Amino acid sequence: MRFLLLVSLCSLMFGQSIDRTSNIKFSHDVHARDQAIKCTKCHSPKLLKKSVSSSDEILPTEARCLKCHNVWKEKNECERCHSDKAPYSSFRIPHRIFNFPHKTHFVDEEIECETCHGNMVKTGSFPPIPNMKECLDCHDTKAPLFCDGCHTNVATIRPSSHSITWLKDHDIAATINSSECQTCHIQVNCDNCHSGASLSLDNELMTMNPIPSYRPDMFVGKQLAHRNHSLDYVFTHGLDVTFKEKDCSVCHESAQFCSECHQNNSDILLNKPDFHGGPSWGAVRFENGTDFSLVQGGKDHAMMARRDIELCYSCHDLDGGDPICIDCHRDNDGILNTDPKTHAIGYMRNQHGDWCENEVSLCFTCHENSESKGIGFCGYCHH
Amino acid sequence: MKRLLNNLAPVILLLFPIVIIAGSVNGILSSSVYSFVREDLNNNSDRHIRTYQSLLLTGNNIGLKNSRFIVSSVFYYDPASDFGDGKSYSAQIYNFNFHKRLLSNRLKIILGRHTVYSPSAFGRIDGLSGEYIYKTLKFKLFGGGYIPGTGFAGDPIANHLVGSEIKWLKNERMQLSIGLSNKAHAREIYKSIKTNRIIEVPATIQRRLGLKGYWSIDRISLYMLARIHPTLFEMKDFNAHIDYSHGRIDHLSFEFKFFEPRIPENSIFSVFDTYSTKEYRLSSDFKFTEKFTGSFQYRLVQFNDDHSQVLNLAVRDDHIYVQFTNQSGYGGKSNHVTGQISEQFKRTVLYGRVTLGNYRLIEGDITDRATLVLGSRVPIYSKMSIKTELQMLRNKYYAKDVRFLLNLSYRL
Repeated sequence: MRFLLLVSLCSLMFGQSIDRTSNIKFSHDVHARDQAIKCTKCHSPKLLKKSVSSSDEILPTEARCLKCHNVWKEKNECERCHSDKAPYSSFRIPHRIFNFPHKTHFVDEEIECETCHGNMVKTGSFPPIPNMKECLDCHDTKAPLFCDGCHTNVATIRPSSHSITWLKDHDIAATINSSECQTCHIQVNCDNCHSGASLSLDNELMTMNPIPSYRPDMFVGKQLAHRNHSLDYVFTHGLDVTFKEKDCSVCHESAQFCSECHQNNSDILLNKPDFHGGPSWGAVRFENGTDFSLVQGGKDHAMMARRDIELCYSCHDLDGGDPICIDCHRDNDGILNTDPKTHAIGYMRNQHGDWCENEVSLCFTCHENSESKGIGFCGYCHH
Repeated sequence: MKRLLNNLAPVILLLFPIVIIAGSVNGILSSSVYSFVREDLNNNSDRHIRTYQSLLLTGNNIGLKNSRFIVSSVFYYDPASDFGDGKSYSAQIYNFNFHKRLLSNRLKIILGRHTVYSPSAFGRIDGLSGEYIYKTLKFKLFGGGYIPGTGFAGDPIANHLVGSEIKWLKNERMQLSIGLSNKAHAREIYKSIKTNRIIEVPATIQRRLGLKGYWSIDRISLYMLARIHPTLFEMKDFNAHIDYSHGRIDHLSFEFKFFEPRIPENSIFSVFDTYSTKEYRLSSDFKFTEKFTGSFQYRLVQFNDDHSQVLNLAVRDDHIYVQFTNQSGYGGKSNHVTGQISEQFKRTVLYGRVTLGNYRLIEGDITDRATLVLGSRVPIYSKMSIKTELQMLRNKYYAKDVRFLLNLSYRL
């Protein structure tokens, strides 16, 4: 409860806003449209030319207003402009959360006020500040596009949609309306993860030192929450793998990536999992002098393989390595159904495989290419 | 750099007989040093320093109107390490492509190294993509040499990704896509030592027919994605998602996923008797106030004969973030809490992040884990900022593990 109060208090403190219309009555409609007064008549060009920040004072002073409205002042008709009670306060400058240099736009780039602020019609007393989409009309095509070019709180800024479920939901959002993503991101941001940025470094180094979990956040690096994985992910990633928390293969070429470390048996951290081995494991013939070859059935290893064969694959299928399954799961004698069960019932039935045409068919990894009727693999069908 | 490019423009104009049209060049250079010192339980210590240099460069309308080029790359170098000879380096180019829009923006062409996303496949290619919009239809074709995660291109015949997509975009509330792709990735030979055999493995061929749909009705939206083997007519991936949002409920959604093991079709492991996995997910985001939000997520992963479940709870506002995660089931067990606090002083951001918890993998003992990050981001001036992070870890493998990150970002 205390925590919630604290968070609410923080929210109030940092989210405080000021109602700009609460103390001064002013209409852009009347001044800019009806009276056709130029912007710089009220907004001093001197101030505009100096302004490098959105919090700079560029609003007209009372003296400037009184150049035209001195009659009201003389008649003491203060309520014509002031909506609050005496003693009157000046126009409140709102707290700005964006960087905006009028100098750059107004002086350096010679952009007309109307380009960003429109023609002031029907704007009332509210200032017609452009929205982000309007800024992006130029920024990216004619001008630089960087989050911290405008946002001062870029380190923590995040849309509310980017919650804990965002990692799983963002693909749907990107599919439906990618232009919304492009408000803040360019496609390179997507590629940064989806192309497996910095995932495969030096094989030898990775094998000996699988620690570095830092990846250079090239393009959205000003955000704090940029890390894809936790610092100690090298120790805990097994959880995400088995819980299917993430589809690792989206970013990683799993056959290579996993094996780079898991094939290395010299490091105590990377040894085979605890659950491998022993009589209940079922896939070990000899261990500590005991012969388990007479153990019938796949036992635990078969159960786990049926449950999640991706887990077996992630360690045991290194390109160019020795897929350990072949030690047992192979056709040793050329006779059907005398070897450890491998295929599902009806596997490849009624399908045209490549074993007849392709001398290097994957089938010949385990089956002898006998090429003779009644013998071996070919003899299964050709009697 | 921008000034240099601008100064070189006349030279470029002479070298390339094309009309230079006023354009813009944006870029980010990021230099990082990441180092650690650690000591294991036997008092053996290691040190490591790694340096990174990354570059993102985008140019708009340089040389051609309605065009853009993008280059992004990273270079790594290890100047000091207790591993191997202590020196290694690597470089990757993620993007090196040129975009051109034609026919009043109805046709878009991308040439070079880029990533393609479609309902049937995605991947990085050295090749060509084209998109053409005709009324409510969008036609897409792509093809080129497939670039795997290693970043190194192989034989483009044995490593390729080609595909097509047709998208019907009735309006923002309804769209349907269908795509077909063929992805090939060459593998190394199997060297079976015990059986004394060397098996040449053909390239992985992954053909997929992808169907994707989205329909939004008032406060409810529906989404569906299916990836099917086009010749065997086997469902490989399926995802259905229904979402409701109203008022303070940012979204309340239910998702169902079905997927076959993601194993290349030329792997030894593809021939085994395997089973699909199903996943059910219920999640919600709730707005307590405009800035203070809460999230909830429950996932149930159903395997052939067992299951796992994950619960996430989180609250967040602009400065504070707290998340609790509990995992249990076949895959192991885990509880952890992560808290992050950040504050901005003028333009300097200070932040701290701590994770405390314990976990157990499939089997074994419960072990504690803790990580602490203290960091800052300090802008030197409008185009340059420095980020520092001190990272400390505590786990059962190392008595001491301290890392330091120094990052300098420079905007062109």
